[in-house]
Amino acid sequence: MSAGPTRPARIPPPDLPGLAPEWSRLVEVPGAGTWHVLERPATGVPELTVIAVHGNPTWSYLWRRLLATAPPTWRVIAPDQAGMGYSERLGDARPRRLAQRVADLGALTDVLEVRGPVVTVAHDWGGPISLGWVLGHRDQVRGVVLTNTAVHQPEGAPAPTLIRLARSKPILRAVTEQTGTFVRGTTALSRPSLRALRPMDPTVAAAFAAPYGDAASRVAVRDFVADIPLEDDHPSAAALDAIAEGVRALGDTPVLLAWGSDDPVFSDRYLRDLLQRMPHADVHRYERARHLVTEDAQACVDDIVRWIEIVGSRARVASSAPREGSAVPVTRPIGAALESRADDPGVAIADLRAGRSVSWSLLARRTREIAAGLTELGVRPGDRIAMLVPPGPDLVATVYAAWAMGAVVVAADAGLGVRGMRRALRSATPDHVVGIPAGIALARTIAIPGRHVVVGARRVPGADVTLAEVARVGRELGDDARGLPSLPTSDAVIAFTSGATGPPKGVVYTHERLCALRDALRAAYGISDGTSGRADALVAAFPPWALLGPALGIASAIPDMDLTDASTLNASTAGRAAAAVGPREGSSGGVLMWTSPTALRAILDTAGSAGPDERAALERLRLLLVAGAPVPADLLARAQEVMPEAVIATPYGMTEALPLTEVRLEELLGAQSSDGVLVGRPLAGVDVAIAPLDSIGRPAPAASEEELVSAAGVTGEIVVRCAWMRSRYDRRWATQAHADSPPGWHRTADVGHLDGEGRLWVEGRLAHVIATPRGAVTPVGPEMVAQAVSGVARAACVGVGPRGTQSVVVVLEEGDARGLELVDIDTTIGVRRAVLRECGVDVAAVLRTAALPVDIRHRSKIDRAAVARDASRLLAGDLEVADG
Amino acid sequence: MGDRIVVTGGTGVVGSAAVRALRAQGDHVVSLQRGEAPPWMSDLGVEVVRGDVTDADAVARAAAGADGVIHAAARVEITGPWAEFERVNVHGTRTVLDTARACGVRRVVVVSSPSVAHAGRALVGAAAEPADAQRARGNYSRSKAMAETLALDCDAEGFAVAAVRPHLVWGVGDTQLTARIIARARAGRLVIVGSGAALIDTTYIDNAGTALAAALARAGDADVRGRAFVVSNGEPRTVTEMLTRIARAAGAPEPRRHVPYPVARAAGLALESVWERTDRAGEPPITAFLAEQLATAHWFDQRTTRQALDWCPEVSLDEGFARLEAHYAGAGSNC
Repeated sequence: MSAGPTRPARIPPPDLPGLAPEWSRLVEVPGAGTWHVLERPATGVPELTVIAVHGNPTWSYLWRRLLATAPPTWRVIAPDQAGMGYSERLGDARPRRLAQRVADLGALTDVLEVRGPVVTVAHDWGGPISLGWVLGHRDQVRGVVLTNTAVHQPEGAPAPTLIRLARSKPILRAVTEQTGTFVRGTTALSRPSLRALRPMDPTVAAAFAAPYGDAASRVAVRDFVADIPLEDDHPSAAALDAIAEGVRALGDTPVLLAWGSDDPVFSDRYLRDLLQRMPHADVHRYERARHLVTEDAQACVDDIVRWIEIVGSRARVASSAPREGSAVPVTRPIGAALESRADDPGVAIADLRAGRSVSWSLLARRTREIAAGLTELGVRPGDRIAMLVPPGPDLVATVYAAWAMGAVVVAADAGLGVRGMRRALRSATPDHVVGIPAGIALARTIAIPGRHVVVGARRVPGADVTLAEVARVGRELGDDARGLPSLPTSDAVIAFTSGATGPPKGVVYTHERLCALRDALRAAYGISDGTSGRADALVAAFPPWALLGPALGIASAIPDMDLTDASTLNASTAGRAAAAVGPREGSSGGVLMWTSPTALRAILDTAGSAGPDERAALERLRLLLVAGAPVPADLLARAQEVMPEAVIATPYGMTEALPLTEVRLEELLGAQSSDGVLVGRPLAGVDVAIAPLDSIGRPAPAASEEELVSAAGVTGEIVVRCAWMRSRYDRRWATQAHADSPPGWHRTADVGHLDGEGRLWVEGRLAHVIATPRGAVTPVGPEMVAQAVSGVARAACVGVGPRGTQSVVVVLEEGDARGLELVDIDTTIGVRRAVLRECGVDVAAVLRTAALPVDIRHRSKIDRAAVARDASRLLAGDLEVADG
Repeated sequence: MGDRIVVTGGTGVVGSAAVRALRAQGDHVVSLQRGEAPPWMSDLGVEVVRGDVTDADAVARAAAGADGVIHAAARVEITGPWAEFERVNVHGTRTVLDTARACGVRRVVVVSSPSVAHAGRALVGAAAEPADAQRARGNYSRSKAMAETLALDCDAEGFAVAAVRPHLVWGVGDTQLTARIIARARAGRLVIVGSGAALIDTTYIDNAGTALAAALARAGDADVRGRAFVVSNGEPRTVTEMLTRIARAAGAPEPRRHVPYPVARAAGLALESVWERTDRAGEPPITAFLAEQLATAHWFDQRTTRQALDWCPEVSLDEGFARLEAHYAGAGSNC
């Protein structure tokens, strides 16, 4: 190879969007020519220096928002690497090797006299280079931020397809050097502005490509690709291996992995590899962001700055302290009841969907066998197992087996819809999967490296073993096979938010949190497992709750229904389920039913057609819990007629913390108000407080408990704390940092207020607060008034226009509406007058639609953001529509 | 006794509202107008100076010794030759401002229109954008944009100028919008353009008057002088609701027929060209501009206006409809 073209370093043109000309300077780097470097100096002596390293084929422009956002006390340095961006083209005859690039970066920081604490930030192949620098400057490094990068080809993983393609010899020069394909392709991979789904701003894309306009300027782009050691004998393989192994020693250095979830180059398998090397890392996976995560995810740079602020302010010694936690096993594991009833021939699970019942003894035995079998087949404590099995005995046995052997259950339920399930699973990166054939098929669309266990009679494509075979393996091992006892702080389950307002978020519960949940439910509802003579039972009309039956030590029944549609339940199937687990002749105990409002409505609507035995079983219910969405009192009153014996209560909570409060029917009937939905008093052990809203509907940041209020009548974000709330969000560092404010609490993103009796009223979702010129308006009150005055079952109250000056719009659900349309003037006037009188809110317009959009899981949470978008479009008039 | 205030165009819709508001707060009002004083003006004790705003001598006669001027006179027709709009709206405004300054007047409020900053797209919670004669639609809006710009450019130490843009003024005594809607409704010719769902801000006539009086009182404030303020009731409603309730208040048939927006716009364009070519009297029943206005949201962020002018509307829309209904019930059907 002959020497390449040379060209001196330059200053970028002054008009690149987001780039301040005063940041640019040219620096002579010994042995590496002249570099173009962006530098945002600190005011005074820097508290911290941030070194931001771009990858290939970008340049320091990638970090412009980091320079703009960083606090003034930081010095921020973002070089264009040798031969890249606006740095000098050196005419290298050979690709510049990784070890050399690490040395170059060190030479630069020496020339720039970087002293004191440093945090590195890197992207793409800047990752290994920054880490090489980190390993050589350990005493200076306070934190490491990596965005979509890699230090190693994971075992058995193909190289990133695009890279491999670009590396094939005939193609390499063509795409990287002779044409701008690689340069242009990289920005084309961006998917910015997640909401609007627009392609990258063309002026920004042009700025990324600006220094790479001709073949001569792209030599280093080619060489960078050529320097990726895909082969063991590659000249840079040893250097990369040393870095990949070296990072394992970074256990005392805070690490943030800010990751675009949809990167076709550095996919989740590289995230998994990095996490395996640095298990202590904080992770935030930005859903739907691609390779250029800092471009695609609006919040990413802000989150990185926030993270650096936190780790930068932390004393170095603190970060090396052992993580919080105890090595003492939980005193009564989540599966304790299952163990203690191992000889009980009574029904543990009645699955009316599959038409089979399983006894306690069989369930306990199967659980032991599966736990032993999974261990034998290579599942390790801490491994994540995706459970793609509908509620029933197989799911229960597998889940309790996983818990018994220390594995983590990834519970992506069908209520998320197929797309939501796939997103949820990818975000959790499970190590293994257990699924019915459809679940295995779904799992094949995402990479799951470990065991693929099919629940069914025979192996299907993509499955390597059946659940029965796993159990047989365990059985053959006999009683010798025992899992490790669960530690309180080890992860037990990852559940998912319903994703009504975005991609589902993973929510992690540890064993101690799950045990606390079990104990809280027992205490709150007087649940008795038979040890004191009375044996209760559970009808899981919201089927996932069947999983709790064995923990509570009570039999559970799953009614015959379509799991993805709660409205397919009816009084006959619910009654039959109750009868299947009802107290045996002569024994005391009662049946509890846990249901969603939609399922309850379906039961009540069909009560007349149920058979006498089915009706009788419903009449004998001891407790009815209705949860998942606000429940109208009249629905509960109707329920009381069908279930005269039952105590009827609606708990309030969310995926992150449930139950928090509860209200019983009697109290609900006496407390009709337009101030919101009464959800009752906090359960014992729950703290509820309010972070007040400002005039445009933003809640107080409440970094400390002193900023929370519990005074009556103050509306704000509901903030809670209890022993059984989620431990954390999964791989969403920024979400977690936001939700943990104040520390130890959970911000619910619901708005509401407490009344003089300490009861909580919910007024809607924080994201749905309407910011009018006369202050913040919460939607639930006006909705209740509108429902009452117009006689519709469901209404949505939303804002149109800019925040701070929004107009209030009410949308009624009326089956005969044709699309979204205006209601007649008299209805408009009637609704407006009532809402003004009851809530003091001026309603600009009243609309109607045949069906308001609701979430898949509960079919009851109204997607008010979608309603607002549609209403805004209609109320903007015809011109906007005509203009497209 | 209050201040001595000149109102140009005091017999017009907005001008008369300003006259009443100023009298109600005890000011001495001089109305510069072309026609004779109507009885209500005499009843209120308004001093009348006859003359045209393009006539500097007439303006000087009215402005001599005045503390403030509210300049409301304008040519407001929807169509017509540019020269006429330019003469009255642009040159007239220049004459009023130059003369007022020469007479030692210290505060001037010019009545403008939100259409000066409207290029045809939907306005949703919009702020008062700068007037833009290049993009304003139609001769009226263009001339008002030029007038507002030149007026605000006159603002100087000791000579404070502000602009108020009342949006869609209606109510008892409005001979423009309200009377036309009712006349059409009675003739069975009131139609809804497009979906009729566009949200619009309107201003009950009395509120336009009090807003002008408030603006004049505060014209010298740092956050008022040299600026333009959109004024409305701050109660956006759909076009359908406004038309229906105005018709209903007058006991006229409510509009039921919808004309698709593209049809209405095409009809407007055709009629405008017929009117221009045949030199017909009056105005075409619909213009493209009107079709656009009736099918496009226009509502405004009123927070700055209310804070800077320390003003809020005294008559709500509901109260306005009630007053309109009482007026028509009392006046019979001959209006």
